[in-house]
Amino acid sequence: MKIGIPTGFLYQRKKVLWKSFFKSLNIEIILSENSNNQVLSEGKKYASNEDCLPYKLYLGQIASLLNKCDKILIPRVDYLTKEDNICAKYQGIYDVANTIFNNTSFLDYNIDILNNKNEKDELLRIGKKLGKTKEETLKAYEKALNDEQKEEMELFLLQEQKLKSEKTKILIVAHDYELEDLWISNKIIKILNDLNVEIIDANKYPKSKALEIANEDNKTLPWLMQKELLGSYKYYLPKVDGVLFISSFPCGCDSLFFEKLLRNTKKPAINLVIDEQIESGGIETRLESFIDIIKEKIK
Amino acid sequence: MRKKAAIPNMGDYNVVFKILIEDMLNLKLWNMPTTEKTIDLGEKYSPDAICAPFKYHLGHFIEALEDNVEVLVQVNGGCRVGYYGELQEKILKDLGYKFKFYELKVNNKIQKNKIKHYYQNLKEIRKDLNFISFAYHGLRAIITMLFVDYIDKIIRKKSCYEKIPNSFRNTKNNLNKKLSNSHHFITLFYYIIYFFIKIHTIPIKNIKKQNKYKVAIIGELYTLMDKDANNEIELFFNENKIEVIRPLDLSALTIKGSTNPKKLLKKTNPYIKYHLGATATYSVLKTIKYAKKRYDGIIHLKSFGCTPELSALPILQKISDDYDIPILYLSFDLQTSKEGLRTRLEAFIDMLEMRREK
Repeated sequence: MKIGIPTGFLYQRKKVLWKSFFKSLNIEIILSENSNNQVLSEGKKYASNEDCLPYKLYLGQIASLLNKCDKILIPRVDYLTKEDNICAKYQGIYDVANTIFNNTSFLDYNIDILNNKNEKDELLRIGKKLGKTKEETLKAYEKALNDEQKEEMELFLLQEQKLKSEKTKILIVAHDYELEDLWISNKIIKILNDLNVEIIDANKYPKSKALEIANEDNKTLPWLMQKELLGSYKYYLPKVDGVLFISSFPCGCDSLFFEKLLRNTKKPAINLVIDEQIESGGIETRLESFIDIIKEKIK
Repeated sequence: MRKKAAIPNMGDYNVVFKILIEDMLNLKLWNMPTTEKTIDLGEKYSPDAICAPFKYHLGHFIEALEDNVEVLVQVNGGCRVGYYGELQEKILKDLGYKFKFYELKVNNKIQKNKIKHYYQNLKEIRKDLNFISFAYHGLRAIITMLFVDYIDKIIRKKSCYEKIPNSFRNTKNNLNKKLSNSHHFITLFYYIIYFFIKIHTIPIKNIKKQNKYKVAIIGELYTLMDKDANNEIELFFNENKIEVIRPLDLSALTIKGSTNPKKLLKKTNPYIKYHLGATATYSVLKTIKYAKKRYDGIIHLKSFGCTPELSALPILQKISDDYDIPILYLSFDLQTSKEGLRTRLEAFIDMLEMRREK
C-alpha cells in the first residue's frame, strides 16, 4: 500500500505527524514532486487564472502523483477549531480533486471541529480503512502527536537562538506552504541571505500559544491560520528590526489581514504580493531598499 | 436631530435596511446609490487583491462620511465579509474621519437563541432599544423583505413578456417609494395587497411554453444581489425575452436558511461530498436542479477571486457536461468592461437560440 502526499497546503503543517503515523503503520508514503515549472504548468491546466499560486502548485502536485501510488491523501478542512474558519480552498479541495482527476483513488479525511469531526477520530477511521487494527492505529496516532509536538518545540527553540544574532533580523509573516515551498520562496530567501539578514519565520512559533495570544485582543479575525500568524507576530515583533509580509495574489484573507497589520506596525514593514511572475518584477529592488532603510535606522 | 447612518448598498434592499436603521435604531438612513465615483473611491483606498464588494462598501462609506454621516454599520458574517469591517474602520480612521462603527453579527456559528443574539447585537447600537420595538420592527423588516423578494421573483419571471416596456420595473420602483414611507404594519399590509394585485395584473404577452427561454443565475451572493455589481444582468436577459430565475435572495439567505450546507449536501450527490464554503454548495445544488429541469442555460456570477465559487467551477463544468446544459461563467471586478460583458452575453443568447433550432 503506497500513499501519495502532495507537498503543498497542509503538508508543511502536518508532515511530522503524517510521516510518523504512516511509518508506525508500515505504510509507505510517496511525496509528490517538489514544485517546479512543470508542476506549475500541470496545475494551471486544472485551475482558473484567478486561483492563487499555492493552489495551482497543489493541483500540479496531485497530477504528479497519479499512477505512482495506490491512494492520494487529501485532507479536507472546515473548522480546525470550534470557532475559527479557514481558507475556502481547504473546504473544497477534496471535491475539486475528485472531480478533476476522475478515477483516482483519494483518501480523504475531514476536520470539522464545529461538527464533531476531529483529527484523531478521522485518522482512526483511515487506519481502519487501510486494514489496521484500532489499537495499532491509536498507538500510531499518539506517537505521531508526540513527535509533532516535540518537533514544534525544537523548531521554536532553534529560532530563539537565531534571535540572539547580531545581524539585521526580519520577521517573515507568510504561510508555511509558501515559505517552505522553495519554488515560491527561494528567490526571496536568497536575496535576504545575500543582504546578510537573519530570517525569523512566523510559522515557527507554537501554534496553540499563538492562537491564545491572538484571541486575547482580536475579536473579529475569522481565520485560524491568520490568527496563528497574528499571535506569532505579536511575540516576535519586539525582537526583530522589521517585518516582511508575503502573500499570494489574490488571497482574500491575507490581503485584508496583512493590510491591517501593516497599518498598525510601528517598525519598518512591507507587504509583498507574489504570483507566478516571481522570477521577474522588482522584488530585489524593493527588498534591498527595505533592508537599507532598516540598517539606516539601526545606526 | 437623529444622527445619519450608512450601511452598504445591496440591490433594492434599502427599504428593508431603512426599517432597521430608522424605525428600530432611531437613526437617519443615508441613502445614495453606487456610482462611478463610489467605485473609484473604493478602489483608490482598498488593498488591490481584495474582492470587489469590499471596494464598493468602502467607496460608499467614504461618500457617506464626506456627507456628515456619523454612524457606519457593516455586516459581519459569511465569508471574508467577516473581516471587512475591521479593516474598513482602520482605513477610514487613517484617512482622518471620525465616526462610530458597528457590526451586525450574522455569522452562522450562532447555534442557539438567535433572537436573543440579534437583540443584544442591536442594543449595542441603540442602548435603549426595548424588546417590543425590536420585535415589532424586526417582524416588519422580515415581512417587507419576503414581499420585495417575492415581487422581484415575479419580475424576473414575467417582465420579459411585458406588453408595455418597463411596466414591471416601474411598479417595483413605485413599491420601493411607498415602502420607504411606511412605518407600521397597517400601511405595510395595505401595500402588500395593493402591489400583489398590481404585479399580477400587468398585461403580458401570451407565449407558448415551448417558445419560452429560461436561464438560472447562481453564484456569489453580493454579485448576485446587487445590480450595480452585476451590471444589471437580469434586466439584460429580461429585455432579450428570457425568463430568469435567481434562487438566492436575502430571504433565502436569512429566514429560509436555504444555504445551510447540512440540508444541501443531502441533495448534491454524487457531485460533492463536503461543503465548499459560503454559497458555493448552494450554487452546485441549484445548477443540478435547473439542469434537471432542462433550463436553457445557467449563468454563474462571482467577484474576481471569490474562493469558494472558484472551487465550484470544475464541479459545475462536470454538471454542464453530464446534463448538456451550457453555463456562462462571469467574473466581476471593478475593471469589468461593460461592452465586453455585453458581447459575451449576446453571444451566449445566440448560442441558446441555435441550440433550440437543432
